[in-house]
Formats: sequence, C-alpha cells, structure tokens
Amino acid sequence: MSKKKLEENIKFWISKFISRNKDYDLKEIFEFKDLSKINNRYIKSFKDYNSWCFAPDFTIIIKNKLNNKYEIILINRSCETVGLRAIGEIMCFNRIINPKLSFLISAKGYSEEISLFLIDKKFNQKLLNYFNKNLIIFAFDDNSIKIKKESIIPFSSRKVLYE
Amino acid sequence: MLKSDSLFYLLGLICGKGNILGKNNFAINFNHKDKFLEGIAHCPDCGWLATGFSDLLKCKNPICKNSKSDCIDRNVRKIFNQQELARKSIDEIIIHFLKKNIYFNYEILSTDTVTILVIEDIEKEINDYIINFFEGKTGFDNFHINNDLYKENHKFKIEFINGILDTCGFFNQGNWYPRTGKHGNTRMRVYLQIVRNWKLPIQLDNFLRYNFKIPIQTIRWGHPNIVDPFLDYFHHQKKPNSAFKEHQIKLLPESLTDFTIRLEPKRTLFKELLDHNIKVDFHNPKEDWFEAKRKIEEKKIKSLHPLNNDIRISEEVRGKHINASWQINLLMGCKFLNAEKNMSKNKKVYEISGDMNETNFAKIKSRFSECALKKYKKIVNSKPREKEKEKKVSKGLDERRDTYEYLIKWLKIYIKEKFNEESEVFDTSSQTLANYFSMNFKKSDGFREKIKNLDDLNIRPDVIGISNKTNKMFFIESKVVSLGVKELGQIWAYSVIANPFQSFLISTEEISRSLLNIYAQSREKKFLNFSENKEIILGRLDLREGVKLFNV
Repeated sequence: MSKKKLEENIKFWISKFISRNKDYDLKEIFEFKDLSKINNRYIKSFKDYNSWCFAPDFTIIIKNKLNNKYEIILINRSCETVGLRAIGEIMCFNRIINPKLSFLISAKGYSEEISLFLIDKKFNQKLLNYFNKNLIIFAFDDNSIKIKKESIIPFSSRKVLYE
Repeated sequence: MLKSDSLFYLLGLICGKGNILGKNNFAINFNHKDKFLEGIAHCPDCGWLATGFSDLLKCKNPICKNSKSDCIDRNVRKIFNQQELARKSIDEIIIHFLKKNIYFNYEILSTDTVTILVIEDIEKEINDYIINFFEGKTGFDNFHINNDLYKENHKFKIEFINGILDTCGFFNQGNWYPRTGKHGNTRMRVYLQIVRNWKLPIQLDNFLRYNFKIPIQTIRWGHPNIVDPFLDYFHHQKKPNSAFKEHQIKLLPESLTDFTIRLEPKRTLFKELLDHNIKVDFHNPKEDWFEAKRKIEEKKIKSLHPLNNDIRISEEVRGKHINASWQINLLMGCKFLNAEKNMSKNKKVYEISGDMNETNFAKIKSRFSECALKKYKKIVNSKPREKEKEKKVSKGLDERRDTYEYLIKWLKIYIKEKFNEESEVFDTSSQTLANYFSMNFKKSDGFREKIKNLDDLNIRPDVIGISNKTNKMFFIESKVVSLGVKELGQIWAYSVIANPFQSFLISTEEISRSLLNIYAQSREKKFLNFSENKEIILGRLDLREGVKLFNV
C-alpha cells in the first residue's frame, strides 16, 4: 500500500469510526501540523497546547456531545512494519497530550521480533500504556479500509474497534 | 488431572515455538516467513525433479531433453498461501483438537510473517503441569524435554512430536540432497528448525531414536565452525551474525509417517516430499549420522574461528573448536555417543578426533590445533579483508559520528566520577547491539544475558557503557539537531525494553524551547520516565565546555 493510499484510508476510516459513535462529532482533522502553531479555536481550548511543538501524522478533534467538551485522537502511520522507534514517537506524544484515543496504523503490521513485547503484559504495559489508556496498533487489509482484526493490539481493543 | 493427547500436543507446540507469558498465559508462534510457498516441481516428460530460480526450470535427469536448458514452466508447482492456510488450520484443526480436552480462551495475532496463538485463562491444573514440565523456564529458546516424557504412553509421545512438527517442522522442496534411487537422483529431507536452543536438538534426536527408532540424517548446528567453516561471513563479508544460524535437525520424511501434521500447508508439503521419495525408490531405507564414520581426518579439520567464544554459544560448547557436528552432539549430551566414548581407549582423544584406539592425547591435540591454526592463517593471509565500501552518508550523520568519540570519553569519566567505577564504553551507532557484541566478542560476555532477546531486537543506541563492577548499563542517543519530542521517542522505547541504569539524549544543539516548556509544564506527567524512577536525561554537548546535563 502506498503512503498516499494509506493516508487516504486512514482519513476515511477515522471519519467513519467517529460517525458510528453517537456521542461524538468529528470537528477537525489536522495532517502533519505542528500543534502549537495551529490557529484554531478547538486546539486553543486545550490547556498547555502552546507547548505541543510537534506534529503527529493526524490530529483529530472530536466533540463530546454529552458534555460539550473537545477531545483529541492521535494517529501516526507507518508504511513499514512497526518497530520500537515508531511506538516510542507516538507514545511521547501520548504522554504529553493524553489523547482520548491513540492509534499507530501500519501498512504491514509488525515484525515478529516485537510481537512478543506487544503481547507480553510485562512489556506491553510499559510500552503502550499512557494514563491508563493504551496505544492501539493495527493494520488494514491490503488496499482497503477494513481492519485486519487479528493485527489489533492490545487484544482488549478488538471488540470496540472491529464491530 | 487427566492427562490427554491434547495436553501433550500442547506441550510439543510450546516446546517448539512457545513462550510462557505469565499466569495461565502462553503464546505459540507459527512462523510463515514467506507468504507463498511452492510445492515440488516434476518434469512433465520423465517425472524427475525439476529445479531452478527463474520462471523456467530444468530437469535433474541428465538424459532427459528438458535437462539441457531451463524450459519447464514453473507453474507445474502448486503454490500455497502460507498465512491463509496456517490461519485456517489453527482455527479449524489445532484449536479444535486442543479444546477437546483443555479449557482455555484464546486470541490470535497475525502478521505477514507469523501467526501467534495466545492461550489465556487455561485451567489451573493444566497450567501448573505445563510450568512444571518446563521446569520454570519461560521460552522456546531454553525449554528442554522433561525426562518424565519418556515414561508416558506411546500415544502421548507421538502427540508431543506432532506439536514439535507443527511449530518447528519445515517441509521445503529445496531441501533435497543428491542420492541415487531407481527413478531419480534427489532425495527429499524435512527438518526441524530449533532457534537458539542448544539442548533441544540432541534431546529430540535421542527422544526420536530411543522411543521411535527414528534415525536423524544429520544435525546442522548453528555454530560458527559449521556455518562459516571458511570464515567467509566473519572475515570477508564482515557479517559476523551470519555465522550463527538456527539449528536444523534433518530427517527423511519416510521416518515420520506415524505422526500427524495438523498445520497447512506443512501437511500437504510433507506429503509431496514423502511421495517424491517413495516414487524415486531408494534402496537405502535410512540415513543416520550415528552410523557414519566418526574419525576426523586431517583434511576435515576446520580453521579456527574467532567467534567460537561467543556468548551465544552454549556453555558446554563455548570456546571449543569443532570439526564435525557429532562433536557438538556429544558435548550437548547425546546418550548414544557418550556410551561409545566410554568404550574408547582415551576419552579425551575420542572427543577431539573420534578415534577409538589412539591413546596419545598430547600428540593428537597438538596435531589438530596446529592444523586448525594453519588453515586460519592461510585464510587470513591469502584473502585479506575486503575494504568496506564507502557508504554515502549525509552531512548530518557525519557530524553525529564526530560526537561519538567525545561522548565515549565523557561517559567513561562520568561513570568513574559519579559511581566510582571503571567501565567499558562502546560506539554502537553503526550496527545493532547484537552485531557489535559479535565483532567485539571478548567484551560481550555477560552483556547478552543482561539484555534478553538481544539478537531479536534491532536496538542501536549510539553509545553504550557498562560499568565493570556492578554491570550498570548506560545508553546515549546522540543528536545534532535541537532536541524536541520527536527525538525522544527512539531512546525512550529502547530504554523501556532494555531498562538501562541511565539513558541520555544528548545533542550538540540547544534543547528546544518547546521541550523545555513541556518539561516544565508536564513534570507531573513524567513523560521522560522509562521506568518507575528513571527518566531520560537530556544534555548538550559543547566540544569546548563538555556535556551539560539538563535534568539530572
């Protein structure tokens, strides 16, 4: 899957994913934007936003209809198999922003070498957890926006994500 | 607890490619490195094996017209989608068989190269039995066959091997070797691939030999003397890691007909290999390394290999020069060879030469050592190392490299001043940790044990320090750009996995204002922490003023 195709698929998928949840509205998708430099009322509603001098691949602003608050979803994408570097980068963003959801989406899944770290709770907790939430990693089926169910880590996210 | 065939099949799966993850939790890897596998190709005219790497194949029969050029369509082979077929048989056959007698929940993690069956919430008695069976060990690279298995009934022993075959069995058409039969000159082998586990190959050999009278054709040990006898990888190609491979236990498919392979496409490919051998009709029904000649002639003595001391080699074999695979079989505990050794006139002579009658150890030892050294010198002198090709590097990387030498000196002094210890500090920037330690084997002992799965991890901080007394490990990631959050990710993830004593991110540029802001505003979030009380230490390198640490 080309980089461009993967990015298109991600935008399409996340829009659909949010629309399925009646409690949330999609407000904005920023691509590769330094968050501290965006002049946007939603972003500016977050405390500390001016220190977010980094650019996740996708920053999605959603509105919680129940309490009228804005929340953030972060997505990084990887055209290669996911490795420690890619996980480390988005986890640093997560540990600062504390997004509602965070995804690392790969065109190729992950290498066998890191699979054990991802399923072994000893490492998995340290590597993927932020503020009692988890980074979710998955891959799309070839050239589609269908998630490969069995690529989703952690397992506890599968039900929510796949249905 | 009722023992069952499901339980012993599960033990075989775990022993072959499993990991014990924690309470009532196991993961079993079913590898399928290549998405597609090809079956055997036979010449449409004479039925002999057809081989080749292009779209057209050549017949192996020297008198067939199709042996003159590549002319047989590759599509005479069946193509198997490994990932799809493996996935299907795990669901429909393997899990079904396990669940016949064992209660558990499961999840499957599937990527292009591996499908992992994660077994959860297995019943306690079964869990305890499995833990005891593996005697507290937790991964396939150090599991042993428990001696109690010898006392079990035949059906359970078969199921254990079935599990091994589904995880470690490889049934590739390319694994033929030249042997003459009535209708061909190629004999197919299957092999069990054993990764990093030095005890299991000979244990499996002895188990199959003792319980089923199954001979092993050979064990291809992943030892430098066996894999790299002419020092091609180590000396010429500078790829020391390639001198270590997985171990392969090679057998004839004819010897495995009592077993059941449940995983596709392994099952179908096994049948193809077996049918090929039956069709070719070999007059010699078995091949066995144990029955082959033991005595090592001078021409078979191998060159010394500098990696024979490497920590990746089992302690029983480490530091020993190996001229033949059977020597590793003996060192790793082959009961049958040990009995033979006990009958030799001088056991030490037998160990190095296989000679049952010779008694002069000093003479044999000196002859073998001199010969190995002579061969080593010949290789080194006649084929000097090729110069490494100049790699194109960006200006930035060059600048980064300039910092390593300085950071190595700085870290040595830092460890001495701060912890009052001498240390070993290495530039590991240009290669993975595993590769670096292989090239600097004298220093590597003990480091591999500190970092589990080092060989699997593509970890490469730029500089690593290890203190001599207390073995504290230090990582440095060097940058030549202003440090921001993006620069943190890599060293943070490395540090989470390897858990060094201290981990530094040091740049020649200032720490960005944004990172300082985040640090100031988000201190309570501990975003620099990689374990409970340890955080990444940020620093600035100034060649005149030295390293200034920010948050120490």
